[in-house]
Amino acid sequence: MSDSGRAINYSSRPAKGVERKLICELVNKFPKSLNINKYRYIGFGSFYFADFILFHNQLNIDKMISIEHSEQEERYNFNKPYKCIDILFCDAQDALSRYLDFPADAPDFMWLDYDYELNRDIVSDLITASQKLVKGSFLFVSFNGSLKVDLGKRVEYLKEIFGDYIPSIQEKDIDKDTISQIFYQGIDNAIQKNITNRQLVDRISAKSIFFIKYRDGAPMLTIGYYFGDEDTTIEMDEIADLPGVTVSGTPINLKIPCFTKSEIRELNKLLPGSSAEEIKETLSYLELEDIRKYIGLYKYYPNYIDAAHYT
Amino acid sequence: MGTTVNANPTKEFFISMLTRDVDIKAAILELIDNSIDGAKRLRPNGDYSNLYIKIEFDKEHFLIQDNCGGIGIDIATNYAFRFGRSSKREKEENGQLFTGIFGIGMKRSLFRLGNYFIVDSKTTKDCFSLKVDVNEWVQDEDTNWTFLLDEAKEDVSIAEGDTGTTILVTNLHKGISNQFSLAYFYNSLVSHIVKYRTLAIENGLSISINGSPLVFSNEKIIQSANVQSYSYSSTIDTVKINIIAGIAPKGSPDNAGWYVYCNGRLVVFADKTSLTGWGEDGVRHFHNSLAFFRGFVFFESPNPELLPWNTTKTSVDSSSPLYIYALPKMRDATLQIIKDCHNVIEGLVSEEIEKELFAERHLMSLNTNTLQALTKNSQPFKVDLPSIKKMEPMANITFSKPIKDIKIMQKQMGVRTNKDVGIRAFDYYFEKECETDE
Repeated sequence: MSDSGRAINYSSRPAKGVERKLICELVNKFPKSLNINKYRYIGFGSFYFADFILFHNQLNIDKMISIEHSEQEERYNFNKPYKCIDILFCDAQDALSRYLDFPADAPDFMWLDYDYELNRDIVSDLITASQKLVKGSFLFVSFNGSLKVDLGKRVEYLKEIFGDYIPSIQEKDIDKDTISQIFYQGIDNAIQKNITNRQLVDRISAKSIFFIKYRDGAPMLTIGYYFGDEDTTIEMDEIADLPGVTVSGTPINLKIPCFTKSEIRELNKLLPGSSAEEIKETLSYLELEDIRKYIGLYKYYPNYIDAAHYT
Repeated sequence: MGTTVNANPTKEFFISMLTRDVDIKAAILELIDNSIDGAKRLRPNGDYSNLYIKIEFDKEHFLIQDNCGGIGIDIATNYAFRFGRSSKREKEENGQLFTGIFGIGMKRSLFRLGNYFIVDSKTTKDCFSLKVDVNEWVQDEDTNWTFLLDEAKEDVSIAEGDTGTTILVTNLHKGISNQFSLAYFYNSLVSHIVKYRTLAIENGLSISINGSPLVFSNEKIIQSANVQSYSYSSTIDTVKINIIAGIAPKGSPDNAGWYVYCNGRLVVFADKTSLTGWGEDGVRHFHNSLAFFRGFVFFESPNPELLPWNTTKTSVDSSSPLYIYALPKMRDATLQIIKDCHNVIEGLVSEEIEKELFAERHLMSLNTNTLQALTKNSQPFKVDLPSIKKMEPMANITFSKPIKDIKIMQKQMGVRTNKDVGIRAFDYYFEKECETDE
């Protein structure tokens, strides 16, 4: 969004890369999303379009919309990797309410990936999305989850972001450890209320299925929702092992350990099937905790050609 | 042996419940609605020329007289004077959209006004007169909840021009009588009726109060090559929902906001509260700088009981699923218009451009015909002002500082005006202290 691709090179953020692959795997394997290739993907591509490339290649999605609040149309069009991507040069609210239609039989896979802190506009966009997305859709939202406000001003800060959707919480209970759940709760309040309001016409429900927290410099949060039938019970068996999958309002910490290319090769030779302790016996110079984390994520681990900053 | 408690309502109790909290002006408007419904039945083509409603009142009486077709005896004996709308009544099938529903409007209004009323009606086929002395009726301990029609004649032939209904209320309640003698009340009633008039007025129906005809102005909205109103159209369970929103010349902020109509009858006037979404879900609270905003929601159905109004037709029922369905579309419109008119809001548009934007000749009246044209396709709001697009989005900063400090800065900076002090101070800090990526 908003030319932030000038400041941040989205191709090489490691945790972001893992997150992208996790989301890809999740929507692909999600028990109710048959034919993910028939979905339309909507996201904020920036100049790099990393998510667009992955989802087109891996999921065969060929209806794709990138939303960019920018006037530098030429640069974005120049970098567009595939013909099936349309770029809307406006903000998310306009894209969702003015320029996009949401036919009942055409669900969306939407990822609103903001790289800045949660604010009133983001909540407003989520409200609009929950008013428009049709049954079968996925909604992911990412934002900077840091708490930069001093004690004494935190409830006020949350009120400013969430308005009436503010979770009931006291000033003393808001800190950097609880803020993730608090943000989740406020967002869920807003989404659920707007979903309930649709009941006259749509028997639709929104269930959260994904929630991760990771650091790429700043602490980032990503929450994922599935819009199903009124009484959707999500059978999670097929995706329960996927990191990040949770229906609780508590995020799963995604920690990407740092290894050299050679170390990764050696680790992979012992996977799948070995425990962290077993691997440690062979690769004794690696930290046990790092090995453990790696085992959970090895299939999604980023591959970089320029790995200088990892050696 | 059990003891039975007589739980039958007394007539007195019933009347007091029925008329509790009923606003006098709303009660009078209810009677006007009935006359207009008569007009709709009489003239299905929607041309109400030469039809009238005359209202007269003073501290002793209230009279409403129309030539809009009258009330048939059959309807009078079985439905019009029952309490509650009988489910046996057939739906009126001629495609008209009526406002009379709950079956209690007329009775409630009459009981609210006074203790003696006469209803005279002539249709083309029959006529009757009904006289009710409320005190006598109440005192009749008989659980008989009937009225007796005096002088009922069926199978007569009356010219259409002579049909109509006349209602006279005397023995007014003390409170009503006091209100009616105030000059202020006359003005306030006129304002109320003009405000909440129905679209039927534009089609020739005239209304007069104490001899003076009412003048109605209808709603207008800017529609031009540069300004395209927001429009949305949908039908849910026989209820048609049409939404139009856009801008109108700024004028008084009193007229800004959302208007909601049910079957052509205005129930919400220029609303700027959370009822129509202001201050909720990311929409800012209304501010006078948004005085140009106009939004109109029209609900229409051959079944008026499905419409989202409250029982007194003075507002919408905000928990009505239909209204809840419309709110997100209203929100879309409000957000679009506020965003597109940002520079107008901040006062950053040149006078020339603003004059052209809001020019008289671009004003379109909202009536049945223009509504139909506007809502044929749902489309977003659009304002097209090329010279504005290239402007950097700006905002005003206003604040106060002690005059002596301002004077010191003026001297130091070598500038004359307060505004220049502010601008220089802003630029100074921005340049020296703020890091940007540029």
